[in-house]
Amino acid sequence: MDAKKITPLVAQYKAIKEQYPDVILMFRLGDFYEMFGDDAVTASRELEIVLTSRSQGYAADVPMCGVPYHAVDKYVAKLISRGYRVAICDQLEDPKKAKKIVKRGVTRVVTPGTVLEDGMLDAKSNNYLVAVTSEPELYGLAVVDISTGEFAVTEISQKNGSRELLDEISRLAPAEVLLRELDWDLEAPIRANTTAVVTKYECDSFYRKPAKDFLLEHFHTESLRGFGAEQMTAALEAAAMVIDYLRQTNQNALASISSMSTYSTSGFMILDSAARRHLELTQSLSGTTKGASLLSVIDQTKTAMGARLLRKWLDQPLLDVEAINRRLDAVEELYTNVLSRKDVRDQLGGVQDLERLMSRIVAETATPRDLVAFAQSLKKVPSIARSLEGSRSERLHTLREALDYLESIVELIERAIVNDPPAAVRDGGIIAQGYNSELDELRRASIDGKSWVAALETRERERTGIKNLKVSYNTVFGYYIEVTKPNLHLVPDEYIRKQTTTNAERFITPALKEIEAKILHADELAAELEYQLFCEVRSKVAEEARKVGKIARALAEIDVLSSLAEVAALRGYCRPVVNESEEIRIKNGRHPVVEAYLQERFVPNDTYVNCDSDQLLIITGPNMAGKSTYLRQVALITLLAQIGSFVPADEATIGVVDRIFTRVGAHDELASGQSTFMVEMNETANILNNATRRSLIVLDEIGRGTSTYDGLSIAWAVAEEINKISARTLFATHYHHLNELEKELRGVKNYRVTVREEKDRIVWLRKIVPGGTDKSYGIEVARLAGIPQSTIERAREILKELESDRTSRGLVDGRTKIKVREETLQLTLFSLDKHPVIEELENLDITTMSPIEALNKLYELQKKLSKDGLPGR
Amino acid sequence: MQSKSETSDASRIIILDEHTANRIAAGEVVERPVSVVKELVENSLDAGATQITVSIEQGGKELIKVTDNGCGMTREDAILSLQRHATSKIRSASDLKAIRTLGFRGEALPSIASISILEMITKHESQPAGTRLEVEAGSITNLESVGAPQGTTIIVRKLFFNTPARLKFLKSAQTEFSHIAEYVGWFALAWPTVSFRLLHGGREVLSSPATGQRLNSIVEVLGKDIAKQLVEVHYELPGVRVEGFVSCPSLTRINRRDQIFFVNGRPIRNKIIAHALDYAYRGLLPSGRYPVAVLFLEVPPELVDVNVHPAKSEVKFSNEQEVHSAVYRSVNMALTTGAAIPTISEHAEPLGKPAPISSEQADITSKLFVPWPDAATQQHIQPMNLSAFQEALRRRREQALSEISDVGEDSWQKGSGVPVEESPVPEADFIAPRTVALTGVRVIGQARNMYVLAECDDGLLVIDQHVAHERILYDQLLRFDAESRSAIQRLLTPITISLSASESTVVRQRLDMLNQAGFDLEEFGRDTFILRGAPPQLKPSQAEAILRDIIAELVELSVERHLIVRSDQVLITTACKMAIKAGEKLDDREMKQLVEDLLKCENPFVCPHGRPIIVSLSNWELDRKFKRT
Ligand SMILES: Nc1ncnc2c1ncn2[C@@H]1O[C@H](COP(=O)(O)OP(=O)(O)OP(=O)(O)O)[C@@H](O)[C@H]1O
Ligand SMILES: [Mg+2]
Repeated sequence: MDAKKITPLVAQYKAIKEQYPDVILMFRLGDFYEMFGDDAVTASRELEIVLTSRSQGYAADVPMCGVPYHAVDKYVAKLISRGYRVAICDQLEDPKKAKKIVKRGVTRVVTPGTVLEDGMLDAKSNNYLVAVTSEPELYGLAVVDISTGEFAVTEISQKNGSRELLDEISRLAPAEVLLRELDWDLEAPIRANTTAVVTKYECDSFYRKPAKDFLLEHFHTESLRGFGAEQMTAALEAAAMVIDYLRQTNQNALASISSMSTYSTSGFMILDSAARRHLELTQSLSGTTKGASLLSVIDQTKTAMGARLLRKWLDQPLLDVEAINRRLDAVEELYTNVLSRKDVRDQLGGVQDLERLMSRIVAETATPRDLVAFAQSLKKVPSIARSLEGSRSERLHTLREALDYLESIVELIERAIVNDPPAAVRDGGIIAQGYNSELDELRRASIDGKSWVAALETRERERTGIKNLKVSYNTVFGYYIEVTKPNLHLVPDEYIRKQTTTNAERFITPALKEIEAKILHADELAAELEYQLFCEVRSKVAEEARKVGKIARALAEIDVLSSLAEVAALRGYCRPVVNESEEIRIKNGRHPVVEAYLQERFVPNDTYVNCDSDQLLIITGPNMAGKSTYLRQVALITLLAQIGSFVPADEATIGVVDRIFTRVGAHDELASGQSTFMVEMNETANILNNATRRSLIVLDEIGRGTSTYDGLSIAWAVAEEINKISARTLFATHYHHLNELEKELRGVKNYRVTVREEKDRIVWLRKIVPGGTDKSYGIEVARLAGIPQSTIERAREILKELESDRTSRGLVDGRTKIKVREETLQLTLFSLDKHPVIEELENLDITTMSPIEALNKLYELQKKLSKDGLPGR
Repeated sequence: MQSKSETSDASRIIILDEHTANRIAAGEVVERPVSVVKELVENSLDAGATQITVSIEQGGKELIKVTDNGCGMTREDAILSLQRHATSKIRSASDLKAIRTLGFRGEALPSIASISILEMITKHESQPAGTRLEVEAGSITNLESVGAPQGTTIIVRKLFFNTPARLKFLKSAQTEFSHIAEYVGWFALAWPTVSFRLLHGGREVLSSPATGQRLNSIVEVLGKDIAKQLVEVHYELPGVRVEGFVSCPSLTRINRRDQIFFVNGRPIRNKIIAHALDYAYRGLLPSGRYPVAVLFLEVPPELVDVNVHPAKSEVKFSNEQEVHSAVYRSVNMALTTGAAIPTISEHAEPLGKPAPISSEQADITSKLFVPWPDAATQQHIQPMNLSAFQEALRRRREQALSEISDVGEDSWQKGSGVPVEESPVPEADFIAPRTVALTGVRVIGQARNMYVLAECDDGLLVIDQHVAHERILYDQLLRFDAESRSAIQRLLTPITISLSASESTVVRQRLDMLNQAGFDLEEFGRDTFILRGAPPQLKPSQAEAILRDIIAELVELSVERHLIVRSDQVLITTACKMAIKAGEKLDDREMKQLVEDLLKCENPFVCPHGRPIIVSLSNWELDRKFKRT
């Protein structure tokens, strides 16, 4: 490109763009953010905005597109949601004051994990940025949500390869994951397990000291002991990556990261990503985020903070029986005490997202409205505390204690900021009368000026004798004097004509303009001062971040507990007994989600399973009978109990479970290049390798994706193996042969889901009863599903044949031939196949038969023949 | 509540003999959708249900669905239950004497089935499969097995589809539903051990989980603000036991709608109980105010005659005397000793001024004897944001008030022994043009600097001066025309008014209406306006203050509603702010002018906010009170 033709502006753009090669650069030009070149092509496609081209001093036309500055958030959000990163390049000085070209620079890089704007965030879930590092035998993981200030690190063992790491990442469901170049091999598996954008972390060695020093500097502390993270080198490295990345992208956000906590994945029930997905905890399998998930059924929270915490609880059921019971006590108290529950929930309804408000306050992006909302929310705190007065449960008591009332902050905001302020920070109208005398004076000056102008009307009327002379205002000329046409001859000389309308002419005078300038100046100064005062108030408030954080966490938990109580009352749940036993005993259990969405009434079922006498429940029954529903219902009830929720049952005793394994339905993961059967076997292997006696295993059909014999054999062997592990297991299957295990293995119990055949129809009774089954009614289900009648009839015929085959030959197997349709009618009697009698004869082992036996056999065969009628006889 | 085993025993259904059937005054069981709900829910309760869900579409005209988890029915029982006079509850006429169960005629289901399209799904414990039955106009059209949990679901569609006369008689869906809501609310109050859920159009309107505590049901049905101000009553005399809750004297109502009585679990009306209640509050309440009460009486069935009306709402006691004294004493005791203040009212504050609380005793006394709030404060006691359920109840009440001919309030007074001076339902006294004609009106004077007293040919009139003036001004503002424009008074010096950002936004949006209201207002620089003229009704010196008042109120309205203030709101607010205040002394000329202007208004009875302007006492009433007729 010809360098001479490049204007200074283009040079500036190119210099900046060079530093941000793989992000979309939005370049502020006047009232627009413009994008050029490839950025413009991408943006116009993703944002559906027009692509133009203008020779901006380039030799060739360069594609460009732009978005208006006031709507930029919306467009950025859209690009972020599509997985792009965006650098915002702003004007760093007032264009009016700039001598030459306006100074510009990137003020922030927006990435999925670093957004702070309300419009780009989902109120009900955290927006996590995760960094991962690896060391020999260990992974370090740091997770931050800059919108709430939450920052935590952990270390994860590599004894199962990357599986545990991936489980943890999928639990967190981050928006963005940071990886170092040398850990880039994790990129593909992370992409396969989450929807996160994976970003390569580039260390800027100029700024970046070794992790520990870097963190000490950030937190302004002497040691990391206070965070309990001193020895966790892998975790610290990840933490440093996060902080450094934020510094590179969103400097402001760093301020809200004021502390760091460590956590261990071992205090919680392990739910791998498969289990999370299969049990539809936060997302239904059909894909849509909300859909019919467990979360959607039990989320009655009133605040966004509560909603996020509930989601966290659901993702991390507890193992500690005491901790669980503490939650249950609190839920029970709120469940029984209807009045205080209603009171608390009414009050919580008026509480805004304190965590995110606080983050914006700290990051200096909070608006005056944010501050007012913040104060109004804090004001609810005392009455919430009052509603919880006298609570007996330990947890509620502790939470109530945490509800400090930050009166001085509320008072400050209420004194400083008007009731209903504008959203913009620089246009004034924010600060209340009486808060600052200087401001009041400026305002008075402006008002006095205006009164002078108003009085001018009377004065000028008298002076000029123009009766209907009028002083008015419009945004184009400011103040002017209007005189109607008939009076024009009375206009004094010093009036300066500005505009002529149909009936009148408009004038100004130097004196009027002088006062107007004063008014404008006072207004300008006032607005500036207001901004300054507002910022002061905001930083004052920011100092309380830690206290507010504590209150916010307490409110969130109160919200979750009262929501669980509300759900329990609404849906008729009962308090489970949670203990260290090895039983799960459920009376009249229901599936919380199916129950909520079902048109008819849900049929409740009992469950009893333990680690020895009733360890492996084999559940058979026709298609559509409710096997899968039943299996998940048991898993969900267990899980709910362990988060401290009441459960959909009449009674339940849950001996805590360290892990729930699921192997559910066949489903392809083409994205990860695995076939149905491969996925299934992977999951099964995982179960066999990792299940303990304390685990709960839910197997919904194994071996479906392969041939019947292979499938059955695998299912059988898996069942035997699980029996050895002694983990409580529910195993739904269509292989009725597995019923035989009951006789062979201790702890195996057969159950079936009952149906009734009525005329040409089956009735699903949905009741689980002891015992096995031998029929699948698959064809009936196919008929219900709308398979054409002719196909159904044909299927019935084939089934009949196969079944009659089975009687003589045992299992249905691959050798059985299905006869061609047209011939069916004639050929049933004159089978082209070998006659069963002949076959049986062939298979006779005469050497082991006694003469009597041989004689009997002969007699039997002869009888069979005479019954069937062999051709030619 | 009965245990399931008891009821499942009783659930063997037997066809009543002719004699018994005829003894029961059949009447018309099903009058409107609420009758269906009532019958079905009673059946559910009799079946020992602990969870009952009532789903309604279109006020019950489209669909009524009652689902319970009671004992359910076997297939034969289900079929039998649809035949007339089949009941599991009474076997012979002698059983009628001791009716304890709620439904007893055994004719509800067949009656309902004969006038609707009915579907029943029921399953009895003893059978593996449930039964689904479809009935159209009384004949079974489908019968099959289904999988179902124990219990019964009955779906009534297209009620009255074959009786057009009845159908025509039905009110709007909202009205029909409000009857249902009220009734289901009563059930919830009476059965705290049963979960009730009520849905209308899929929306949950009431949910009263089974907690076993009456007060919790009251929280759900009447709202927590009322529940916080109740005291518990409890008393027993031979032959009658009284339990329940009544309000502290600080919580009152203008009518008896929140007095709900149950006898043996059945919601009823009864003048004896009402009177005993009044008697206990004698001297504690201002006239025309009534306590809230939810009372449960247990009386031996043989002493209660419930068969007086098919709706079972009115009962007669054989032991009236005992009932009266039990109610009186229970309430009196609770009010005077305050012994039974419910624990959860700990943080209840009387809605009036919070009284200082030193000890528990002081707490109780303060609750019981805070001065009753005046009418203005009472307005606030009505919960401002009503739940859907309360909203339904409110409608119900309003509707009841409009049906004045209903079981007359007279019956409360008759037989009470004590003359009841105050008319129980003041709203019913809003003067209706047909009762007192406003002719020959003459001002008599002013009372409490609030009301203008006047007489007319037909009786006495009390006119609220503020709302009367408000009406007059509003009508004038509405008729704004060129003539009015010329009437605007020019201010000598225009006034600049600087406003906050939100105020100026509202003013800018509604400048047109403010101009129409007579304020010559124009934008004058940032967030500043210039006022050059004011409505003729105002003294120029007041103009700015009143305009600011109006603007403040408009901001309030727009914030509250999150939308642009409606134009008539601007006018109403303006009229209200400009009007004479209560407490202003008026001279004769002013009063005369006021009344004269008022009589010119198209609707001199109700102010634009909907409050009454004139209350009347007709000559006839007056004479009757003095026993001159
Ligand atoms: N206990 C129940 N009460 C009422 N309805 C139920 C119950 N259990 C299941 N259902 C209904 O039956 C449907 C089918 O259930 P489910 O998928 O569990 O059957 P399944 O036995 O696993 O069938 P398949 O063998 O085809 O996998 C559910 O979607 C639900 O609507
Ligand atoms: Mg299944």
